[in-house]
Amino acid sequence: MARAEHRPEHGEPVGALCNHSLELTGLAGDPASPVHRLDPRAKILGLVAVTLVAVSTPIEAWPVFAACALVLAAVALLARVSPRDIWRRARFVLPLVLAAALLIPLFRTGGESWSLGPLTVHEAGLATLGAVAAKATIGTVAAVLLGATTSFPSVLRGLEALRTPRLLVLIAAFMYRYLFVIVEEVGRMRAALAARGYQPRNALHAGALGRVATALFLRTYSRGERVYVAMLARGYDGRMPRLVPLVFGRADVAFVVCVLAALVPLRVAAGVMA
Amino acid sequence: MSCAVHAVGVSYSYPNGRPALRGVELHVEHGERVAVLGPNGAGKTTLMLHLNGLMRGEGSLEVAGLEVEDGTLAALRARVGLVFQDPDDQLFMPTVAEDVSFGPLNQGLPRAEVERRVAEALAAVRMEGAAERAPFQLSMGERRRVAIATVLAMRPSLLVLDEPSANLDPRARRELLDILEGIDRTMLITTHDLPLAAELCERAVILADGRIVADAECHELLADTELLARHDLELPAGFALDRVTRRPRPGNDYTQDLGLEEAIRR
Repeated sequence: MARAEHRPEHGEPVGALCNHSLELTGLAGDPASPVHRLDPRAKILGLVAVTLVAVSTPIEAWPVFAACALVLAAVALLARVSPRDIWRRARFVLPLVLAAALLIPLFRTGGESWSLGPLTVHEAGLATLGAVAAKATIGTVAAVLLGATTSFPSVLRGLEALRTPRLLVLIAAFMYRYLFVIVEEVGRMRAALAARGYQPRNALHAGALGRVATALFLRTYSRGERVYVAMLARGYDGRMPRLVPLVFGRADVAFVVCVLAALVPLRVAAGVMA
Repeated sequence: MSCAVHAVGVSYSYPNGRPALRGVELHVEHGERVAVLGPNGAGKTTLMLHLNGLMRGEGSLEVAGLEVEDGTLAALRARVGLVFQDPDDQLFMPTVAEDVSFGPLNQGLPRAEVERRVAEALAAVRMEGAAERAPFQLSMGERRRVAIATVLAMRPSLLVLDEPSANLDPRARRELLDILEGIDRTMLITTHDLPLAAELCERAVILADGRIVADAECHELLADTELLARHDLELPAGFALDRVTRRPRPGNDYTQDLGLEEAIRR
């Protein structure tokens, strides 16, 4: 009875608009890898631990950063997430952070200084830049690995099970579900504007965009109400029921313990030396 | 268990004072398939929301053996399945399987039973292969069918569909008809797709301006072109009503009301 399965009807619904972003929100690597199969809570805890250790470490303690990088590399290797996949996802966040950090050597004074034409670069600033770059990279790659090995709904379930306020998790879940609907709607509205010859040439022409944003807000708001009514119609009482409970097994404990064992002693030693 | 609708003098006004329903009288018996016809803005959706207690007006309304009142809402929502016009409003969970299990889980059913119902409901709408897919990956026709499954999984005794054929291409519409034909439930279908009503329903009523203005055997009512025209309805040009055979009722009842009573009691 599979006649209705995976059949391109209506020309792949959202595809044209969202395929590029969908690729980047889905899983990467080998979905059967031991990392992919871990409980989402284990991955959240482990990768947040890596990030926290990196962020809290002073730059002089570079072996701690090396250890963080090694842990991440090991996770990527186990999950078979290629460096290319990591770069394709990280490139959306990392350049922004690094671009902001590039200004630091100009303004943070201390130590030796060199002049590059009209600009002066300071040694202390460069050191800070190095630290920020290392921390940002480790944090970003940790998040990318979490996203590449855990589906977004699973991340949300993990966060919920880790006692993140339920309302926040619900908001994120609905955002994920309706983002595509809203993107489609924006696409249609833009097409409708263009079809009537709208070509903004200067700031005065932006008024139409303001009205589009208003219309979009109102549509989204009324959709929100309709979704809520549809939930009530199926007996919603404020709690999200779950079919399959999460199980925190031995592998999950082992993962978290290994990550902590690799990083915490080094981090503590670095603190003592400082 | 009764799955009848008895509406006597049901009236409702929007918060801004505009009346939407003005004394609706409607009686639907067990096993009937009734088309609720009417132009846009006639109050069809408002009436549908009343059947599940999502909107409450004046007058007396008994649905599926329950008075619509505060104490009966949970039981009522288990017995009356609403399928909304826009499937994107109905499908809000990350995967199809999670969405179909939402209703049964809210009924407090155990996991094994929920899994059984999910499989059964997806099979009934021929979407077995889509359990792990996300709603945004489905076509409009597939989304509509999954939306029906989300309600079937609750094993309602009364199924209410709001414009089920809206936005469907001919093939998706045909598949929808095939599926609805096989569902053995009392059905209320609000639509202005008159050929759909002709194929599926024995009886039709016209809702206009918040009132039921006509109530008759479906083909008889659709043959009255003057009546239809008076209420801004018409069959497609050249449509030969006498050549439409009504689809037979299903012989196999794939979903008995087994266990529903217990579910409600819990």
